[in-house]
Amino acid sequence: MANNDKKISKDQFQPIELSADKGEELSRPEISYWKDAWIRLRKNKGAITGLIVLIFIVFMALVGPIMNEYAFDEDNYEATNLPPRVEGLEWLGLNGHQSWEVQGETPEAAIENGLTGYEVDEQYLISSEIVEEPTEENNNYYTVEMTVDIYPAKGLQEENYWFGTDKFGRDLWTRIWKGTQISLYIGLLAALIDMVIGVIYGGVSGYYGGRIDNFMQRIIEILTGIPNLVVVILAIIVLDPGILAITIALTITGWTGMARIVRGQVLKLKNQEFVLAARTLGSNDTRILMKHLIPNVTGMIIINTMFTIPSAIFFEAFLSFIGLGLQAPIASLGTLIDSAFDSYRTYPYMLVYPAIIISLLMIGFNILADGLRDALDPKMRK
Amino acid sequence: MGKYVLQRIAYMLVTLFIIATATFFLMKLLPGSPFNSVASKLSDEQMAILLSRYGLDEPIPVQYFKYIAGMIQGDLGISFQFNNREVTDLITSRIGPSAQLGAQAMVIGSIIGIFVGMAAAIRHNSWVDYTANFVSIIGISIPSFVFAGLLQYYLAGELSLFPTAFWDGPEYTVLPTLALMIFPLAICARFMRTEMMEVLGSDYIELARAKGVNNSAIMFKHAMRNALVPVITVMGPMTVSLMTGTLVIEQIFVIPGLGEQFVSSINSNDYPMIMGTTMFYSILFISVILIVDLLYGVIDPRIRVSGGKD
Repeated sequence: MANNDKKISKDQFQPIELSADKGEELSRPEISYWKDAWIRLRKNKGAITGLIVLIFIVFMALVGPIMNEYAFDEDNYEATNLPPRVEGLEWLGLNGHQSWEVQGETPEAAIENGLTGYEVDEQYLISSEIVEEPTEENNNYYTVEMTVDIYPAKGLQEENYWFGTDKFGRDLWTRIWKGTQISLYIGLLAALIDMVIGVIYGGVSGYYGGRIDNFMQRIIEILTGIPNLVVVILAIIVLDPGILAITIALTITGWTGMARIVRGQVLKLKNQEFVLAARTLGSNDTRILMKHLIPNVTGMIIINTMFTIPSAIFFEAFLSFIGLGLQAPIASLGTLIDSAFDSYRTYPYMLVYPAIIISLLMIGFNILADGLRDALDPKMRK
Repeated sequence: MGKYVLQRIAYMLVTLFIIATATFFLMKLLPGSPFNSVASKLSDEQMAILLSRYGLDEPIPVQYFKYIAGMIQGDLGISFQFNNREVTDLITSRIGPSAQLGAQAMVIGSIIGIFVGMAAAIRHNSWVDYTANFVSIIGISIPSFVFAGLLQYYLAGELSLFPTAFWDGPEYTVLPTLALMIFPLAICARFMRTEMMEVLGSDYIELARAKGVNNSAIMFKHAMRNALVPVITVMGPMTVSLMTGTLVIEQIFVIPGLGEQFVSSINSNDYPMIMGTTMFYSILFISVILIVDLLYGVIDPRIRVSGGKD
């Protein structure tokens, strides 16, 4: 401390002339609520990563299906169960090699069985490895893992299926991005329902209060008592399983959480001075609600919407997975994962890609929502 | 308090009544009958016998009242598909595995989650915190069926540590429980972390420190107990996740539980079974919510349940 004192001489300082009008002047640039939130969001590495991942997935969902010439429902029985192959990325394992475990009395017999069973010519056999010696348990058979170059073996040297094909020979690349489109549509729909029905319902209920509020809250109480799954099952039984049934189920139950939050906030805000001022100036109820109250709740609305989106996406995938959602040949990430489950030991790539994409989508939305909550909700500031 | 409890139970009954009514009439709206697959093989008389056997020849309002009256007495009708057994009987025979899985996942998942959340809050902004955060984001984000697939592929398939599927002893419960408990774990960890951080910043913790209470006593006796109270509120979402979770997990691991049966009854248009299971799930869900709300008021006297909570 003492050293520092010596270095700074007195003439380095100058008194500021203080005039009356400058005392009130703001010395720092004005930062609006949104700018402030954006600055805080930008500092949150996780949220920004989530945002980038989401932008990438949205871009791919829109562009992916038109990046190659295959259609999502175009089956090709010449090209069933092909593993992924990408030109130039062979070193990553995307080389179109397929491995099977085959059995036989001798290793040679096992390979012979495999080649005839899968209709592959011997020249395409790349490698083979004994994985299990004969024991009593497996009838004294050898189990051999054989790897073949399946594309030329099927006479498809010219083709490249980037994510492989399914058991009908449909291109998984196109199907997966089409499925991602469905997930994004569901997410968007849930967000829209939340923001329209939820916000208006909650706003009206909170603003008018009294008997209207009481009545509207009782309806919500009953609706939240009904599990989402039950509503969707009822919708599916009456309509056919599909996007319409899921949309209806979301419309019936999806907005109650939002309505409760908005109502709580509006209840808190409606007795404040700015509302009184607006009323004194002659604003009617609709204007006060839409122009004065709702904008003050925007932060909460955005946060809540961001949490609704991933749960809606999960809900659709889950329904499709148990066979109550979308039906073939429409691809959704849930149906893709479901059909991959039949044979993922032999064809793991069918499960891996849709599983990775839905996980990334969910993680992206969740960490972005977390980041937005920290950025927009001042009470959550650490 | 007494009035509040009664009021809540009344709402619960109204909700159940609405669900039952909606379920019943939606079923009646459906085209076709459960005997569609055999209809062409039967004569008119045989069909009439079948219909009267299941009470389907009566006018719809009569059927409705019979259904509601039966339900009050715990009778949910007779299943069309599963060898004409009573729905109530089918549910009770299938509930065992589902309940066991659900309970294991809930108990183990929440206990681990609570400790993970506590550790994260105590070592705030350290690698413990970041790891816990990462685990909870992953747990909330990755769908249980994806997680179940991974477990099945690696732990059962590649490493052969546990059986791949079926239900034949305690070792068969390991993988399904793991797959099911990731969500309770994640959500508890998250909630516990937030609550614990708030509690640790409060005055009475400061006082305990000033008094010279040792650190572990502060954490377990003072902080943990208080932080645990709001964690009860996650029981609601947790039950829902376990309910929906068992549907997929039982399918993946081929477990003879209620969820697996529910899915197959939907696919075979077995109306009484669908209605019965729907009601069963609704009762379970609504009761859990009610219990959570009441418990919350009992445990934390600061929360006056009768006051508007929202």
